[in-house]
Amino acid sequence: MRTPAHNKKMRLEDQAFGYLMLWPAAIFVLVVAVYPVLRILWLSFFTQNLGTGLHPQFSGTLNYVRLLKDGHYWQTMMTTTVFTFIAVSTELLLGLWFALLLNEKFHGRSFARTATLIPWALPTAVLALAWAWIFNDQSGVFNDLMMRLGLLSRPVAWLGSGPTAMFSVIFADVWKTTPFMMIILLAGLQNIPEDLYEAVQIDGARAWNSFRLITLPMLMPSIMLALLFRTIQSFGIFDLIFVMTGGGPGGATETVAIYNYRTFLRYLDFGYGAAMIVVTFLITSGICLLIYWPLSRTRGARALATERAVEKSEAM
Amino acid sequence: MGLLLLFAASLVGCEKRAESTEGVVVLNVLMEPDTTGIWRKLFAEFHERNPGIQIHHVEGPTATDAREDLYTTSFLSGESAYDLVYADVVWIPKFAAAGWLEDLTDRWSPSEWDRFISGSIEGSKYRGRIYRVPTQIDGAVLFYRKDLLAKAGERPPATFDDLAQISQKLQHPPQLWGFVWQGKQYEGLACDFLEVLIGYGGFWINPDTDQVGLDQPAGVAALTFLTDCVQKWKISPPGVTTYAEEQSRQLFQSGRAIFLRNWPYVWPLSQREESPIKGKVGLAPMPKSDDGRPASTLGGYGFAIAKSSHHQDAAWKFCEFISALPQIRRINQATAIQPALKSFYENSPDPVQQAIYRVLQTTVPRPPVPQYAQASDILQRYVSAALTGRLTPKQAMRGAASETRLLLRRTRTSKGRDSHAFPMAQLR
Repeated sequence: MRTPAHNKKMRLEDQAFGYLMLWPAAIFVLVVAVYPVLRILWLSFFTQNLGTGLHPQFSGTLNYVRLLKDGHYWQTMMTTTVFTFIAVSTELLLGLWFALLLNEKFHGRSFARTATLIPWALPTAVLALAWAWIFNDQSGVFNDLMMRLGLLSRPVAWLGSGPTAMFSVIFADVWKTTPFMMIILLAGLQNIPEDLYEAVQIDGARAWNSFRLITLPMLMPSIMLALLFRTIQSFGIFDLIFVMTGGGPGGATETVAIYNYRTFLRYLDFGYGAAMIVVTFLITSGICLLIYWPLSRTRGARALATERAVEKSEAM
Repeated sequence: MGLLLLFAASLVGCEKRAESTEGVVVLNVLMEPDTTGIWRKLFAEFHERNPGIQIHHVEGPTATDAREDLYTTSFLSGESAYDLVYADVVWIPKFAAAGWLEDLTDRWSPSEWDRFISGSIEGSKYRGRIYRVPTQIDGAVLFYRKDLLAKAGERPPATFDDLAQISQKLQHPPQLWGFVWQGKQYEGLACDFLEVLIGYGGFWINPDTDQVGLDQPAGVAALTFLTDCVQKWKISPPGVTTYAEEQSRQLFQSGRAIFLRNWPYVWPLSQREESPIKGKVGLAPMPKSDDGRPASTLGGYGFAIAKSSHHQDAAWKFCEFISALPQIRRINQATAIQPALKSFYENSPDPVQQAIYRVLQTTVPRPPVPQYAQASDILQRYVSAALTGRLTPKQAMRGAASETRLLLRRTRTSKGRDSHAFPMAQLR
């Protein structure tokens, strides 16, 4: 038998070894994540563009003042927010629905599970090109389908006006990323213990109540995770929109990431682009917190409710 | 986003330069994929004639913007991975202002430079110095349906009004549209607009004074014309505001449009065996109004030399080789791209080449300012907003002009300084 002292020594050694094993990862994070962030923050206080011959010149908060007054930036921020809100909430609802369906036992379930993942697995740039053709006004499949169904009387140039272009890119995004939502939620569903359902069933709960009392509260952590993931991702949306509309028409679908890419790589306006990244980062973090807070609260409340429901059913 | 950019930049920086050890100089150039194999043949031939020099073709993406980004990140890393730059006209002012390109002006005498179509030399210049040997030239052509015009007893339109009238008379949408062009918010839209703008006697940016002419009456008239094509006369399909080159060409090639504004590449495609409009297509310069002149936006590629290259003279040898008539002719035969060399057209018996040559003599470069990419994005955004009815032409031109003025004022480069004295990028 080991003495307590011996045990303690082993624990210390284990700890030291643990820290040692942490080093590679820590260095990787420092180089790949922390350094660029600090570098961008530093750069945002300099003017460095074609006007300065690409030399960095210290300009204090000039870039931030310029950003504050840059109507185009705020317009792209608004566009990104609207896109994110509509796309992510639609994806959540559809993803939840599909996850519930695919959680049921039926013939060919594993095939269906794999098949629904295909849009997520395909390269976005290729898909975006395909979607641009689908929404083409003269030869697009979408118009043809809608007219055959009698929902449209004449072809619409879907990417040709602000609102319809927005609808089209959201449609394409929902099609592509709903599977991602679904797979996270499906994993969450499979983690819910069967006996909880049995317990409320004994209590006489119907499908809706078992969904409300068990599924939803137990799934809340997965929902929150998926929501945060997708919100962050969607705030950086670039490839899909860039290929489908290039941010048009009239800048109606131009997102922050597109404007940011242009400022950096095409306009070579590095200081200003850096300030844009910093502000966008802060705004995105703020929005994530806004999602996180109410959800984490409801999660606590729901968990409590579930506990009570289970206790009640057990008491009977 | 920013993390990604930096990461991409560092990746390009790490890219190994292909360099051979046995005293053979290897010149790296990033170009689009060699689909016809003609470049491989020419590079091999050049190596045969100059055993000490080898060209290494780095195959890049087909999209111009994507290759521009790759060159940009490579230059930003300081030591460029490329010796030769196969450069589009619009890159020249930016790359030259950043100090990335070698000044080639004195490598040839003025009469030697004069062997190229003047527009292509204008497009190779920044502040009066030449930075590129043009090999390919592009200019917008008005393609029209010969058969339909002949049947109606019409001639190809000389003015914008003619174009609109003939279109309205002969079209019967949606089976046959009057006039298709590129109205999507992208670089092509800036090209289309520039032609109409000059056709109405206006100007975009004066590179010498940084004056902006978009909100002058000619600018508003030009945008009104394009807007009316879609909204008032309905001679362009509503989807024209989403079309790039290919969408517009396919509509025309399927026989569903009378007029098409596009680049010369359309010609060989429209004359293929299976094309429904084979033998029914004519070429004309773009129309104009009474106050302006016909204009065709200049495009096209040429070879520039990276300032950071250690093999300037070898690179120049290649520029001389590739821009000579025999090589140019073979490139044209293989890829149908239009040569910038005058002698190619002067010796050509082909009437179509003569028609294209006439158009190419009306080419105008896009404003040679270093901030061109941003100026173009501003213009595209406002023109697109007017075309889709979000702004009136007058509002759009006012907005575009004031944003462009702000841009030029903010990043004004000092005119007195010698542009190629700008040191290398300091982003490291």
